[in-house]
Amino acid sequence: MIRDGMYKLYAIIAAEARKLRHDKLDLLTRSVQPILWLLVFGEVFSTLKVIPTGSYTYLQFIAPGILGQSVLFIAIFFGINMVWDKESGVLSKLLVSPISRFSIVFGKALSAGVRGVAQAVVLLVVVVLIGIPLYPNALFTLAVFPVIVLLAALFASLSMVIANVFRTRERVMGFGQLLTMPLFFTSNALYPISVMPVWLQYVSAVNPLTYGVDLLRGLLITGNLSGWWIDLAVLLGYLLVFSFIGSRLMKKILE
Amino acid sequence: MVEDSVLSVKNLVKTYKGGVRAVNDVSFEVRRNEVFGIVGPNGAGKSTVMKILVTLIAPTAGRVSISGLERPGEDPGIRKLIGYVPQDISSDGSLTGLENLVLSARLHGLRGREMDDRIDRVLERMDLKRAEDRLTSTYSGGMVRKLEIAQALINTPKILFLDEPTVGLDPAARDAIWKQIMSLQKSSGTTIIITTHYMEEVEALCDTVAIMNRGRIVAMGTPERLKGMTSKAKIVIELKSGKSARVAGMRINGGVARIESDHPDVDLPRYLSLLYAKGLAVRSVSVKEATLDDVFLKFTGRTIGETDHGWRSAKKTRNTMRRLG
Repeated sequence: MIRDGMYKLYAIIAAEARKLRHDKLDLLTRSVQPILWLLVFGEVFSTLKVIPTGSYTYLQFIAPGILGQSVLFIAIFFGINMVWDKESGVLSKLLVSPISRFSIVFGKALSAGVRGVAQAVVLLVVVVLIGIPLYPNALFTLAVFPVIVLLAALFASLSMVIANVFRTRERVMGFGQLLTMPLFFTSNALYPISVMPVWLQYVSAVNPLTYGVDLLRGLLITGNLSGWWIDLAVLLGYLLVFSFIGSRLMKKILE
Repeated sequence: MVEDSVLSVKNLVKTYKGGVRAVNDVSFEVRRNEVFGIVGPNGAGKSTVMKILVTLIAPTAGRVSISGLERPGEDPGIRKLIGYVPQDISSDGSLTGLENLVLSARLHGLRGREMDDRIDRVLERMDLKRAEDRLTSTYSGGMVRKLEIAQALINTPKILFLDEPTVGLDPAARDAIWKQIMSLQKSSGTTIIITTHYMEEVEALCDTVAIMNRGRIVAMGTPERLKGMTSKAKIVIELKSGKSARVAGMRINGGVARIESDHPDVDLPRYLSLLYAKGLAVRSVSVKEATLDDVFLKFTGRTIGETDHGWRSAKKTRNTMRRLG
């Protein structure tokens, strides 16, 4: 039963991975923005030295932040695909297949992770090329990828909740835009939580991106993984909740 | 219950939000290995009936039983037994034909050699072997439909549901799809349920037809039987002079007489001699055999082309056409 479910999840993820293979240009164009954040914003604020980042350079500090942000930007619009699938017959056919609603949403969410990982590889290469020193532990670096998958899946499932509520491409796009910047700026991606005003610290504490970036920063730069299980639990919790809500809403999407 | 019944629908009702009754007390039975057609204009409720049957939406009231499984309640079981081709394009354009088939096969739990064999068989059957590695977005409309049917056949379904399978296709492609449907029924013994608003399609394909109008089934039977419910033929006699008159029960309007007749072979000579006797010269004569269009007109008071499609369904049809190219 569980094996059967896993196999069908794999079927959905494999199909999404195939799509990515047919669309390599997309991968490159999407990498431009995060690279600009690193090269322009990162470099400028590095020289300004206005943000206290302890014993690490500012570039080291924001590299994991930009990684998290780029994953957020890819995944938060993932629901648009679902609107498209709904307007064509693709979603209808999927819903008539012997697979649970939850598996559909969860599988699609995880497949956003495939895109996330591809993007992360590109970004990590850039990080190494511009000479940002990473924490020297290959296992830690490899562990970055499952975190990327988790983070991408989380925001993709949130996006599918949005898609099931708003139902048109334009509105999903609009709402996604509305979310990206606040999620980015209220997280610890660009500055440490300690420099935020108190009210913002509270917002930051419920922002899933904060937990993702915290994990990524530990794995990539500092090697400090204290509280990793909290990060992981929060990310998984958000993913399951969003996937569950998404699959419940999907029951009504075709009526 | 009809013997050999694979699908039974009893008193089905679907009321949408806002109180619109899309389906209003619909009942029918489908026998094993028949092609069952649901026909009617856009908005008649036929797609809604199909969506309920394939487990996409829940009925407001009524009972559905598919191969002994009840809906809702045994939806997961039903999904294993059926194949469904929605009206809108359901193959993923950003995948190749083969990748689409692999996805469908895996979702039915197929793997390894068995999966490859099944995929080969449906590719062969739908004549798509040569196009398997092309992106579906480069397919012609007819090819996409064939691929969709191939995907729906991957689990060798007991019942195949086709929602407007030929809408937006050119005549040649439509013909090819018809042939496939007929050969499917003959060779594999699949039961096929099809919705359409093309009457000629119904006549060519279906063993049983249900005519739907405004959410109800207004007539049901074999195409022959349905055609028997209206007069067999229409006789049209055009006179040389454009006058109006009554000749022995025949009403002539502006020089044209339209007569319904069950025996045109006997009636036509009789009418002609009546007209000659009155000294009315005849310009032309035509006899038109009754079609299901006439049956539809009789039961709904409108022809299928006259019905108001509305913005939504017009948009939908055009989208389908555009994408099918």
